[in-house]
Amino acid sequence: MDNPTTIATGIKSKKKITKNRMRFHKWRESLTGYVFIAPMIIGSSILILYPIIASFVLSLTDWNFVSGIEGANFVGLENFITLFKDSIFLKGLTHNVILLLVLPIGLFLSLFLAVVINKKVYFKDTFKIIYFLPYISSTVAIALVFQVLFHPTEGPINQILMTMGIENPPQWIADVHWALPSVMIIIIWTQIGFQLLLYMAALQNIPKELYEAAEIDGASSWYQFRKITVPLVTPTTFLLLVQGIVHTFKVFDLIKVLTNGGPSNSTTVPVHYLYQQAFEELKTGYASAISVILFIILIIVTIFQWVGQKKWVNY
Amino acid sequence: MKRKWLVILISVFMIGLAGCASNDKKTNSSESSDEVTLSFYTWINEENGNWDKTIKAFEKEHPGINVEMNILVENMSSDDYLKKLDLIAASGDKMDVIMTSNSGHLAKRESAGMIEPLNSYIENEKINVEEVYNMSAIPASADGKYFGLPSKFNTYLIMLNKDHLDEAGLPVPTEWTWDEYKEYAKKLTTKEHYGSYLHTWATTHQVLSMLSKPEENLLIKEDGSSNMDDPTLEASLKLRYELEQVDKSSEPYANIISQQLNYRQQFFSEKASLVPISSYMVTEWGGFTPEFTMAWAPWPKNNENDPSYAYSSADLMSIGKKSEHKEEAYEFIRWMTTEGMLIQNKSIPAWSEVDVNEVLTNLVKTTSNPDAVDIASLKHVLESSVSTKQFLQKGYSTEVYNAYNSEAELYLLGEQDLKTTMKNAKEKVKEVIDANKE
Amino acid sequence: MEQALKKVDTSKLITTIIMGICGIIFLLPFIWMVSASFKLEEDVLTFPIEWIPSTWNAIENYSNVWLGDKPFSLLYWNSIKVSVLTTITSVSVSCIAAYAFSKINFKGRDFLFLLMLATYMIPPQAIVVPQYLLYSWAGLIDSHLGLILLNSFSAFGTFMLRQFFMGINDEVIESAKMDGAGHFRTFFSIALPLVRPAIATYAILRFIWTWNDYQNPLIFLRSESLYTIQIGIQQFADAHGSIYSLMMAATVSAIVPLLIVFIIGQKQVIEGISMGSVKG
Repeated sequence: MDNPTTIATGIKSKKKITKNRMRFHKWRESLTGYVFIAPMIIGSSILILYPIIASFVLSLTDWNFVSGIEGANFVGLENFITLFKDSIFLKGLTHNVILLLVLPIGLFLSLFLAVVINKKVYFKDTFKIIYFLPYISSTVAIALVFQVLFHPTEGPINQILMTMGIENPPQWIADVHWALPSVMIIIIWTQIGFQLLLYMAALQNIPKELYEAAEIDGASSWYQFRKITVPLVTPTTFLLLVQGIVHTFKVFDLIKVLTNGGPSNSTTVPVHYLYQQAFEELKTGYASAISVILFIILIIVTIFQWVGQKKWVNY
Repeated sequence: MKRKWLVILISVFMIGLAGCASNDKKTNSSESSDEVTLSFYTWINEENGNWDKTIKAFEKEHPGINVEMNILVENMSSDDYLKKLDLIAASGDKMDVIMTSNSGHLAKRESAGMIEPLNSYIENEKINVEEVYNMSAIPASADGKYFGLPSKFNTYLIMLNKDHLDEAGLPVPTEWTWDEYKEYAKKLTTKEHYGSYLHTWATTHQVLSMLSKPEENLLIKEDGSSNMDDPTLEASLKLRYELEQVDKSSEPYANIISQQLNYRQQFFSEKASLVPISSYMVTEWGGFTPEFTMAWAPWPKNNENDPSYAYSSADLMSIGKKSEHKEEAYEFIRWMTTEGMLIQNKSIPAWSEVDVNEVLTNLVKTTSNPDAVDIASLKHVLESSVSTKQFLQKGYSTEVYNAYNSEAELYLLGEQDLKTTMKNAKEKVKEVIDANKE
Repeated sequence: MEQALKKVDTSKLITTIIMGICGIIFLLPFIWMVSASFKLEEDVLTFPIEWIPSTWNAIENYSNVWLGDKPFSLLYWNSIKVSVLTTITSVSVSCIAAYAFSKINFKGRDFLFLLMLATYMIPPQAIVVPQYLLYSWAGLIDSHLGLILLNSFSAFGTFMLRQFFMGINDEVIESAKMDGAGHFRTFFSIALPLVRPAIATYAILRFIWTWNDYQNPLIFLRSESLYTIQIGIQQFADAHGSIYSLMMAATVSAIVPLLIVFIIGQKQVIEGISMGSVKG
């Protein structure tokens, strides 16, 4: 026979049990979380985070990495002071910012192409391969083909421009003012394959019913694109934006093969300069300072994006 | 269904990893107390170095010393090689014999503490290095220290297409000035080909007349100060500009960089008749086979009455500072740079006690078309060229040349006049020198 | 219904043709590569480009590459081995981490995620020296294991997969929990299948990136028997330039697995069409 006190105690102890159970579950949840992320965190901490920290420490020295640790002298912020007066570095930084323009253009093109290939063409699989090929082609081959396309007098691009009446078309790669845009065009073109791939994966996740309903309501393709496709792929767009910004700051192979930073430093970027300083001039400390600056820039940009994602990314 | 896949994947993965981890490394066989193994580092692969044969010959003549080859790269790239070499040094490996492709690279590594001075060994052997070798390419440091012995000897000269000269009725020059070079280039330019081709190397083709001087050929003087005020420098740039833009007898710079032209492609496909280059071109044709005769002329002079000065360089063999077998390493590099070069038979040695004719004939025999090489003119070039006086370059000389080149390019592309170019270049070079003062 | 299927959609046809024309530009480097691999060296860099070789040298070039001095097939195998193992490791590590970062609540989750993401923010050239010294100390230089580990902990993979896991409706997870499933069970049976397109996509990318990696094998490997295909391709370059015809024969040979991986992987992407979250 349950009298009120027993019931009350009963409820109280049940609450306590539930509370404890909840705490236990929370603890177990956290533990599971840690276990799941452990391999990733441990691996990247040892293999990447630790070298990053080492590199930052090195930026405070004048080490040349060949002469053993004894050869490193602590120089404080001297490397950074020199860096801020270094015209080649500053020029490279400006170039990198300009390079960022490839992102809005590239992302729009890739999404557009993804939508077209997904639903609006025959031979879908073949097209996927065709548009993906540049991404896996060798940088050497890409550089060579574009050198021909960009030939100042006999290349198809300038031939077309000249027939359109433009008398002195740009010299492209050999032109101090047009070398960087040439690089940008090639970056957009190569990255399309990669961005396309990711957008196509994202498109698979959009329920067909949404499009069907819009179709029935009489919405145009463009409207569907704007109101359904674009919002629903925002997680991927966010991913590609973060990745894209980081990628433009890391672009190295293309520049090394196509222009080697020239002509006259018109395509130099910090990572190219870093490589030169570290491996050709053996100035490890100075090169590490460059990587510190790049890192700080990228972290700030990413944090901005991370905070801002709540505003426009739909999960 | 998915579980099964996962299990399969994981097992494959485990087996794979296990296989990797038990990768057998070469177990260091314990050497007997009198057997020494030298670790030899180079970028030259077997095809270009003939190492099997050469090393065997050495080991036969020097029982008790073995040489372990460490060819660090597949693509003969000195840059990739240096990267790996530096990393190996950084991780503390004891290197015995180290090769570098020019004295600038060597100087950098020497100041980083990687290279052992050779003077004590040379004194012990009681030889006069300057006589045994064409040491012009191996400058000593300011305090008279030597850090490497020269193996492959490169001297600057003009490589020419004899068939083109014959067509134009021009004899192979035995000595000439830059003005005469310009004349030749003009006469050799036809609809099918340019008379001359100048490549993109700032250290060579942006400083043509500088290399014709008897000394102080570089942008930095021996005492470390800027050499940019030398009027010959401005003259060099003007010479190139005139050849390309005024006479139109040399491939324009804009074409070269926009199409990344390669001097070998241009020369062997007969698009250029004269190419200022170094003597490694005698054998290193890079997969091309000439269908014409290759003849050779000395580097042009600045003045009529000068001898034919020629800048030269060499591959260098050095002893690692941390080596534990320095005596044996010295023995090896002495042998390699003398008899070894002849057995290797891949390039012109810097060893002075050789029969030039014999060496050249043997070398040329190894090419795909020996008859294409005119040995007589080559011999004449080697014998008549007077080496310029050299000194050990500063480690930062690449930065200096890069700074100079970034301005020179603007001039050659028509973006900037000569006066502004020289002014800017001088300032930039000064900045680099100042920034690198110890 | 049948009639509709038989009708050819004209707008689709037109779009196909336009895309095809644009596609030709995208195909150009690949066509050039194949064409160069069929030519004599001196014909490779002619201008204007000779798309169809006047002199066929294909057999010589390809046999030079595959049957030449260097053990090309061994390098090929090494690349397959390293790329497959790296892909498996990276996908596994990233999947579980990504699931946790999106669907499990634990203290410090966002901070740890950003920390891990930070490792992506640095160019590899900047950390190669400390990495090399670390590997040297750990005895991992000149080993495939070392090479695999290098590329197996990519923050990008975790980031990308997290984005896709975030797209899974939380209710799905909740209902699984109510049924008594722990996170392990939920992860394997429910979450993974829902992100199959993403996993397939990342696997493709990781395979390609590892396969095309030149810097890491160059620096971290010393023995010829361990080299990968990218180093093998470089043997056709020398100090003063490249022998393009052979290099392209090697490169074309090296692209084939990438195409295969892409085609197989893409099928997975399509078939992994979302089974849709359970609608109430």
